[in-house]
Parts: sequence; structure tokens; C-alpha cells
Amino acid sequence: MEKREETCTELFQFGEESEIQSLMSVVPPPETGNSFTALLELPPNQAVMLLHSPEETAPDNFTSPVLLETPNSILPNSSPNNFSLVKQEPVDSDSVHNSSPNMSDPVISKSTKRKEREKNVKSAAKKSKSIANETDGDKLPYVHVRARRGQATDSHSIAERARREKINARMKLLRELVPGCSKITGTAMVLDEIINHVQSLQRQVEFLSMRLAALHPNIDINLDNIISAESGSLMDGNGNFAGMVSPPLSNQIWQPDGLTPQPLWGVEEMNPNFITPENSLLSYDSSRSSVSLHTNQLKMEL
Amino acid sequence: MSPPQQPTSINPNSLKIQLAYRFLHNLNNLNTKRSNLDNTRIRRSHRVKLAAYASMAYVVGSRRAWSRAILWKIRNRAVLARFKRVDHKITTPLRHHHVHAGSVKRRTPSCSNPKREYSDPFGNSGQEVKLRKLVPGSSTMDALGLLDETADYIKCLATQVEVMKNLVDLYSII
Repeated sequence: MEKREETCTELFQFGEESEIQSLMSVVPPPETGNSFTALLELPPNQAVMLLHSPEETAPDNFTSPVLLETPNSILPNSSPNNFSLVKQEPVDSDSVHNSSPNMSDPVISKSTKRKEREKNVKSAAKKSKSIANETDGDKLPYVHVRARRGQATDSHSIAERARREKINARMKLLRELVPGCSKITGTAMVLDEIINHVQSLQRQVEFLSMRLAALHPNIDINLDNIISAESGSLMDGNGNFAGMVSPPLSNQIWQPDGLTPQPLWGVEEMNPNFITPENSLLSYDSSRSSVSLHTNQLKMEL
Repeated sequence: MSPPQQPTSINPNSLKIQLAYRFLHNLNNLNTKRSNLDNTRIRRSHRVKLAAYASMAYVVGSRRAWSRAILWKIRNRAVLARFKRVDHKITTPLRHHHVHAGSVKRRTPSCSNPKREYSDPFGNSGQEVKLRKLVPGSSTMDALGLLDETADYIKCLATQVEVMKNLVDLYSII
């Protein structure tokens, strides 16, 4: 089973986010990031859930007292869980034939390698706690997982729980994005809201594209001027605005709805300087019915 | 009179600005390319909608699965249509090309979820399926990735809607 170990070691390397995520659920830290390094930064108080790995090697090469010592030295407060874990692990590890090529590694590191079966890959990637303590300075990219106090210590349920928590973290992010979702409790309703929001956004895009298409054939945008003026005026540091040149073209353009352009007129009123040197960029050609939009106008809008 | 309200700083790398430029660029292309044909309003609005989605996907690039899916659809649309007319089937070289191009960042679906079901992880009634239909390119992802893609998609959609609203407002004044 060396191949399996090798593949597992690859997967557990730090920074291999995509592969890691694909195989196991990683609990993200409060801010961002999904890597194991982020997990390591969790303060010990947060990482209450660990599945201790050394207990797994009970039947093969190590006597149980040795194993029981190490868990106690690391997490003295969760000792009741350790014993239950010890009893469970031998059953699991019997099914795995682990040749553990690195005999020179310390007890704990070897046990972490044994731990890397695909089944326990998920459980190993849980909230970790002070890995450095357990791997005696060797930077082994394995995450030890310990079961939370008072909860099921089955590796499957731990994996399930971590996955659920990850999903909950993403749902929280989505709730902030979708307006009006923070009051709703429960995943189902929030999902409904999200679906409605996406549908409404898509419908809005369609509707706006219809309106734009109605307006569009009469208008040509002179992008070159905009881009050149943009770079120039950015250096000016927001000089004066220039109102848009509004030629008597409005009668030729069919306005699909009677929208009163309130915001823009309001802005123009605020700005007494309708004509600036930059107005030379604006061109109005009645024959071609083209109007160039002024850079600052666009900037204002945006 | 109070001085006009000016934005304190404009970040040229912000999503909105990038979207705006790209969208305007696409609109211009639309106008120049097809001014002769198909100038009915419906076709034009459809093309504008395509331009909007294309600009969204282009700005985001290959970072996200949904943008990759949109870009692939658009780039192969002409070829697909041609093949459909001729052969009535989609040729596999296209698929290979797409997979090769997109495989750099895409997680291989085969090893991602050996045991999970795609359709119902929350235990909710068909919502995830609906979401997968809405968000492009989300069919090969587990629930977690789907939520990620949805969040990014919502963010980009909202920005695109804002840009389009501003454009419409600008145009309707002329």
C-alpha cells in the first residue's frame, strides 16, 4: 500500500487546495482561505474537535501504553474521548495493511501515515490543533482530528459534520450577498431566496438588454476618446465635470418608456461648468446620429 | 450651491469599471458587425443579452467554472451550429479542446465525489437542481462548489445589472 500512502501524502501537501478540497472537507477559518495552513492558525481553544491518530496504530507495531501516553500529553482535558477512540481505531486499522516505509519517523508521524486511508482522509482534515507539538518539529502536512466532547467519534460522522459546517459557512456568505436573507432561518428558505434572486437578476439583464437594444442602433460610442480621456483625467484627480452635450436628437430616438432622467439632470444642475476643455472630445454628428459619451459622465455614473 | 458630488477615487481595477469597458466594447462590436442583417428588435436584444453575458464571463476569465462554461458556449456556438446542421452531432474534438483548456483549474469530477450525490445533499426538495440549471457550468460540482459559484455569479450579475442600468439611464437622456 505504499502507493496509497504516496498519493495520500501528495494530497495532504499544503497549498494543494483544489485536490484537498476535492477529497476532504476542510473547515475554513473565520475570514477566508481553505488551506491547511489556515487550519493550523486556529487557536487551540477553537479546535476542540480532533481525531487522534496515534491510537490507530495499536495493533501493528506499538504497544498501547505508548499510544495512550501521547494523547494524554497533548490533550489532557479530553481524555475520555481518547479511550473510546483507542477502542474504535484498532477495528478500523485492521482492515488496512500499512507497510509504513519510514521506520525512522517518530511514533506519531508514523501513525499519521497509517491514518491516511481514503476513508479517514475526510476525518483527518478537520479542525486541527497544534500539529507542531505532535510531529516533533517535522513539518508533516497531516491534520489530526479529534472528536468533539460529547459527540459521536465515528470518522464518518466527523466528516459529515465538518462538511456541514463548511456548507454553513458558504451559506452565510450567500446570505450576505442576497438582500433580505439574514432574517430567514433555515437552509431551505434561504435557498429559495437565492434561487429567486438569481432568477430576478437574470430577468433584469434580459429586460435591460431589451431596452438597450431599443436605444442602441441610434447611438455609437466612441470608445477611443473615452479611454484616452480616462487616462488623462485620472491624473487630474477628478476635475470638473462636463455635462453631456444634449443635442436635439431626442426626437429621433425612441424612448421606450417615459423615464424621467432625474438623477442625471440633478447632477447637471449641481455642476455649473457645462463646458470644459474636454468638451472637444464630444462630437455630435447629426447625419450619423452618433453621440460620444463623456468620460466623466460615465465615471460619475459608475 | 454645494459643490458637485465627486467620487473620491476611482479604482480602475474594480469589477464595475472592467465590466463597463468590456460591455461597451462588445456593444460596439455588435453594432458594427451586424448592422445589415437581422435588425429586428428581438434579435438585437438577444444579441445585447449575449454581449452582456460574454462581457461578464470575459472579465472574470477562467477563474470560475461558470465563466468558463459561458465562454466555451460562446466560442463554440458558431461551430456547434455548423456541425449541427451538417452532422447533427457535436464533435468530440471540441470537447477535448474544452477539457484541455479548462482542466488547469477545474477539479476532475471523477475523484471529487466518489460517494456524494449531486442532487440532494441538503435534503431539500429539488432546489439544488434548480440552482444548477440557473448557474452555468455548475453541473459537475458538489454542493460546496455550487455554493461558491453561486456567490460569485450573483456578485457578477449584480454588477452587470448596475452597469446596464447606468447605461440605459445615460442613453435615455439623449
